[in-house]
Amino acid sequence: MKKTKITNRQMCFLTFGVSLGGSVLVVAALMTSIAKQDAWLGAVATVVLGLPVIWALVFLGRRFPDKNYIECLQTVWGRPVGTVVSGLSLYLWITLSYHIPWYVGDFMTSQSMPETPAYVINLVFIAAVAIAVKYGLQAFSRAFEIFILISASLFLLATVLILPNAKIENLQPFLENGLSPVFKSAFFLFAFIGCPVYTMMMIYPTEAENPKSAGKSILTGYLFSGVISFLAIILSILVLGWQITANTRYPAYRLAKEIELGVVFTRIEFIIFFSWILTQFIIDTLLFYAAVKGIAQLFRLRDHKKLVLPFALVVFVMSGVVFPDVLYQENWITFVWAPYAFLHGAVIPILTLILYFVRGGKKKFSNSHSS
Amino acid sequence: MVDWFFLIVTFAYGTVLCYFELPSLIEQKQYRELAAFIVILAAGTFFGFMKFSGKTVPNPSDLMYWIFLPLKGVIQILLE
Repeated sequence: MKKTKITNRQMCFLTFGVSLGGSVLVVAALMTSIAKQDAWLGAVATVVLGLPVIWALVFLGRRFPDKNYIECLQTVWGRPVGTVVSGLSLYLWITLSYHIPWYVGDFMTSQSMPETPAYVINLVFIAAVAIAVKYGLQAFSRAFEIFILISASLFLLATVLILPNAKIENLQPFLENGLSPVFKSAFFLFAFIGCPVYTMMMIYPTEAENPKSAGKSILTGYLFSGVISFLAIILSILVLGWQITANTRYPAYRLAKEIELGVVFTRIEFIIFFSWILTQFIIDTLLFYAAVKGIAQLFRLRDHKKLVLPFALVVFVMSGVVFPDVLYQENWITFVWAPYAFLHGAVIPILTLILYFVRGGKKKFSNSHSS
Repeated sequence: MVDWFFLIVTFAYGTVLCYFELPSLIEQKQYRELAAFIVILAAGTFFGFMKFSGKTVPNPSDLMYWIFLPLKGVIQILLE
């Protein structure tokens, strides 16, 4: 069977998508409720403090160029413990792949189509995701190259259009409560944009065209998504002020509602909406792919594509079950998602890296490539 | 409340999938894939039946909530 390969640019864009996807529209609210007008500093701190974690992932990928994340964990932690650890990581992909459709359904029903049942919207969305995964990694990463360009340029267009409404007074007073709220908010932002990056480890070393330089693309993708998150947060604060941002469910969308240029360009918040749906599609496809591929890997199946369609049914049903209401979701995201993602996206990779060196590093593992 | 539309969709989807996928899986002797396929499809159909016939489905989020309950205090400190 011919192996599909991913170019560096696609790798960068996929990382960008998986890192940005879940959060760009919602995270500003959580950030500003903690750090108030200094939340934008939190975004800067996240990018800087998150880099070592992403680097740890890339380092692991470089050391095991022919193993994906699950095999890598099984090698470093030993077979039985590694299976448990990678099973937990896999469970996050499985749960997250039906969280995303819930967001899409909730956004559509609460912001634009209140009469439509959320399940109908989820059905269409998940059908598209399942078809994308069925077509394979190569096909959807090529498609995402185009999607991300559309999505990013729409976002930048909205950014430029909103700039006249910005009020610099909204950022003052600068560092009113000192630095500690900034770092606290950085933790939450990292749980949203940094931690999902480990999904890329199902693709990075094994499917990369040149594994050596692809690591750099992952770091670049993470930096890009940090920049976009930073823009989304600082613009929300500049235009809306932190109080409104903190109390809105979808601040970036609320932000785009402020765009008014003459009489022609009003109500163009749907460009943000369209750009968001595209990123949601990208992240959900990647999570779906990682989940299915991970299941196949863990149970040593040869063909993961056979599992796509039955898994789509599970995702479809659970997308309506997972959060009964908005209050539950907001609580869950704050109290469960943040530590849960941090455990898988930061703690486990770093522990794996430490364990790798403790158990002998390159000397021990370089001759067990083939096993 | 019974949601007939989605109940029928769930079962129809399961049936169609079995009809088209099972013969090829058996033919190619991919028994591991077959087992995984049946388990996942059965789980999906079961949860779909529970959800759309108005029963409460066990919510995996509740489980995660319970697991991370001890950390709630830590997060509370971070939120202030």
